[in-house]
Amino acid sequence: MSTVLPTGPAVAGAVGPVVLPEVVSWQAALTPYATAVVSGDDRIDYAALDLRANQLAHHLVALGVGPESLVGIDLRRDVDLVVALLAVWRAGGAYVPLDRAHPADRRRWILADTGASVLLTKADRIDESAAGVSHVVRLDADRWAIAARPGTPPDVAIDPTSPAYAIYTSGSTGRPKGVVVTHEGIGNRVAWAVLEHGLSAGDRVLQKTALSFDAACWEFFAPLVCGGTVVLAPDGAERDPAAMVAAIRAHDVTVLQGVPSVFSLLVEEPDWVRCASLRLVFSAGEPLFGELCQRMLTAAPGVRIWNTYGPTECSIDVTAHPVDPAQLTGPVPIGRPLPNLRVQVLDEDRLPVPIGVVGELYVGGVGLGRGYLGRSDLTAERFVPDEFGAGGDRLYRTGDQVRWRPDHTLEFVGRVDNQLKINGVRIEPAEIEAALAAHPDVRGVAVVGFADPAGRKRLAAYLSGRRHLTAVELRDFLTDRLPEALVPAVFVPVDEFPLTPSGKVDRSALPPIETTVEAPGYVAPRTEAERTVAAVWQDLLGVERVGVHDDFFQLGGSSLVTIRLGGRLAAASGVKLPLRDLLAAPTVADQARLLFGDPARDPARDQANDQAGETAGETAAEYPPVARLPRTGALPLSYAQRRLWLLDQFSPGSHEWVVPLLFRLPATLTPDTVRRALTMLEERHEPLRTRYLVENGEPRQRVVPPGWVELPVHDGRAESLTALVAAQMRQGFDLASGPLWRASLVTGPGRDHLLLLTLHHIASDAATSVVLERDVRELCAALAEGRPADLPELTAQYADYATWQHERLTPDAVERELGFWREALAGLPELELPLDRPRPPSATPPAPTCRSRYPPRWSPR
Amino acid sequence: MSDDRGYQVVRNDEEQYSIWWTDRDLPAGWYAEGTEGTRDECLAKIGEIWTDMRPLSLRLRMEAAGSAA
Repeated sequence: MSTVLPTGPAVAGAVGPVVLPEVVSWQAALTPYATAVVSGDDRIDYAALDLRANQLAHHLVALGVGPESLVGIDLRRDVDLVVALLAVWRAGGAYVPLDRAHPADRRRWILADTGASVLLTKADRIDESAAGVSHVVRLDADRWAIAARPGTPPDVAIDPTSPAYAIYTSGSTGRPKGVVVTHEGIGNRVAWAVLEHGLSAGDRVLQKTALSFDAACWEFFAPLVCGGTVVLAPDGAERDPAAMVAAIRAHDVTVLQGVPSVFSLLVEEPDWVRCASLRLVFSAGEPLFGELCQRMLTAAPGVRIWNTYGPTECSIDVTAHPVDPAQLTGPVPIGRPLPNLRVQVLDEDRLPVPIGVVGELYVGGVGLGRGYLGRSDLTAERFVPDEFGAGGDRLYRTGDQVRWRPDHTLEFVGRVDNQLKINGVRIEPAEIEAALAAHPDVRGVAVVGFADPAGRKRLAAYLSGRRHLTAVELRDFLTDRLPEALVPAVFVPVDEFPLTPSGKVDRSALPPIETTVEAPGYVAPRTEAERTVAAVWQDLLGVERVGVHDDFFQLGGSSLVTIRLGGRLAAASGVKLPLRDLLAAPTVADQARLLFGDPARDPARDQANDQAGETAGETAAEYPPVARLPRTGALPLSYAQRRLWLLDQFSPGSHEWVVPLLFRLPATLTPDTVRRALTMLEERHEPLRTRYLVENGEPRQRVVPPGWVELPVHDGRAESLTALVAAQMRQGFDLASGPLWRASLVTGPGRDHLLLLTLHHIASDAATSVVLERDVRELCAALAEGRPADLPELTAQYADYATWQHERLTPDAVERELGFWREALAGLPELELPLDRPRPPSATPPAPTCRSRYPPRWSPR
Repeated sequence: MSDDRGYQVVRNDEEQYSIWWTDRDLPAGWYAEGTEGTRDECLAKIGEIWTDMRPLSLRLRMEAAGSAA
């Protein structure tokens, strides 16, 4: 079927240290048309990923990014995120993830701590956390500036010992600390994933780990160095087992990574048994037990489970162990070291311990990170001289207690210090204690981990205060300062802290935690709303009786469960509450009030909650879906179409409204293939073959049947590209007779084709250009490989939307919306903006150009 | 962990720093920087003097690339 291409993972060809951005470009050369990333209905092939990453990399280099630069990343999980990660690396820099789930204050602190001068984000995500950054690159708004950059990789040599990323983890000094990981470290880890497990072009890896966890990195890059596909889970899926299972099924995912506390929820999903595509499951972040493995295997007997272990400081993982399907119970070993890593189990005097004796795990080898960003003292403390190495080597002290088993695998035992792991998140109690101590009414605090009656691991804060502090106000205080995973579930007031002889808090002598201690008397749910909320709690928390004043967290709720609670309550009530509101309303009565309470809800609040950003006072549910209509006659114009039609009437055929789209296509495509792909493109998208006519004094649109698309081919050696582009840009369009778009192809020996599309603005805009480019690439690839194009089916076209818009915007509806805005804007002062030049009676499209030169010393080197 | 032993600041050929006990032989490839004291004193000294955490070999490669360009 498809063109014969060399197969096998590109990473297998690496000699010496693996530098991932280089290997991804080899892979892109091997399998340019293979799907690299899937995100919902969006997909991108290797060639396009490579091209876009190179363009963005040039953009970053121009802003001064290079080796040793740190670049902040604040993006949702979509194709642009993958482009951004790769681009930062291609520019020579290292990425620093900023987690949206964390308070803005913490994100701003992290950006300042890294000294990053560039932040990659999108226009609608910019908030106060970006205040101190010199360059904010918006991947959406700056798209055209970025796309104008060269598609070849920038001339940057990436040293294997240079940083690839910095990940902030909880710090025992009260502030998070940035762990700097090198290219050779992460490259080694990713190469192991591919080579040990035979990952290849057929594999589809679910990317669902939040980028702020180091383990996310291999979910992106293991598939991208073997020709496989990264399947991006919807935002938030990392904590939503139902969404995770849905993503696995929808995209035939073969490889999944997760933490045991999430797996234990996953196996309860009804559709887990239908995840037949899965072949490999990696457990990480927490101890894994045989019982859970058995439950996973019962539903999916063909799956191979691996237990992986490692701190962020050692490039994700240090050891790994294939789970023996015959192991029914007990802890699963963490296994043996990965290639190019070595481990030592040492006692307090740093001498090796015999088999079976508990010691601290020390790690050496290529995976060792450089250290902690800007904290050489902390680095020197944790990265220590290796007495057993080749000379001058370092070992990382993990703080994890382990022991050798007789079969020379390692078993995890616990921690040597107070560090905790809850739901896979590494937590230093000291960081939470520091945050609580900042509360003006808190005098003393100690944070510990405990297991609730159901065996779930949770956080408790013991406090002495200057006054009585409620759990709600403390939780609220911390939510502004800490990631939710670090917010304790239970707050226990104490009068005096027990002290050790040396005067420190004696954690072992703290009173036991009674999770029901603060609960007031039982009051049965009184209304239908309270009964609904209580039923959801009973199901989620596995408790028999829920009273209206019970506290969600005291009954066993955690941040992980709160996410699911939000989803279940939304399903039951139709109202989606922000996580923050749920955290601040921890009782059944509060939540029932939030969900069902006030029939006259605040419209401003609805609008803020409605991600679709629809007009005031309405919710998405009031809109009928866009229906597909017969094309028997002329249809009305949308307001946007009408505007452009009217502008065209002023100067018909003007080239003012010509929108260009210029991109490279592989030289292996024949011009005829491109022409056929463009013909199919016009057939697929009606706006490209719509004509605008006047009927009874009103503009109407008519969709005409697809025809043959002309594609003039120019020789790039004989003609100037600038002149070709300028000539085509000067050609306007006749809206009544068409065509509304033109294409031309520039070819040259030994280089990519350039495809230039010009379209009337009535048929295209920035958003549609992205779709058109994607479709052209996929149609070309499909034709070249002799397969059907893998494009989403179009359920409605633009003319359907135009009609829908007309039906919805009745005079009544318009009056209602105008009324809202008149009221909302009433009383605002009117600005007197002066005109600085006399204006001609009618607009003149040509504009003068003003050139100025900057001295070379002003431009970034 | 009681830690009243004597420490010293040590450095390897990559000019990476760490600490080591004064009463124990230095591991191969590690050299005394000269500072001795408590654990915290030695770590504080490292915080002052180890300001460029790039390994020396990388620094030299980057300088060579910079001067060649």
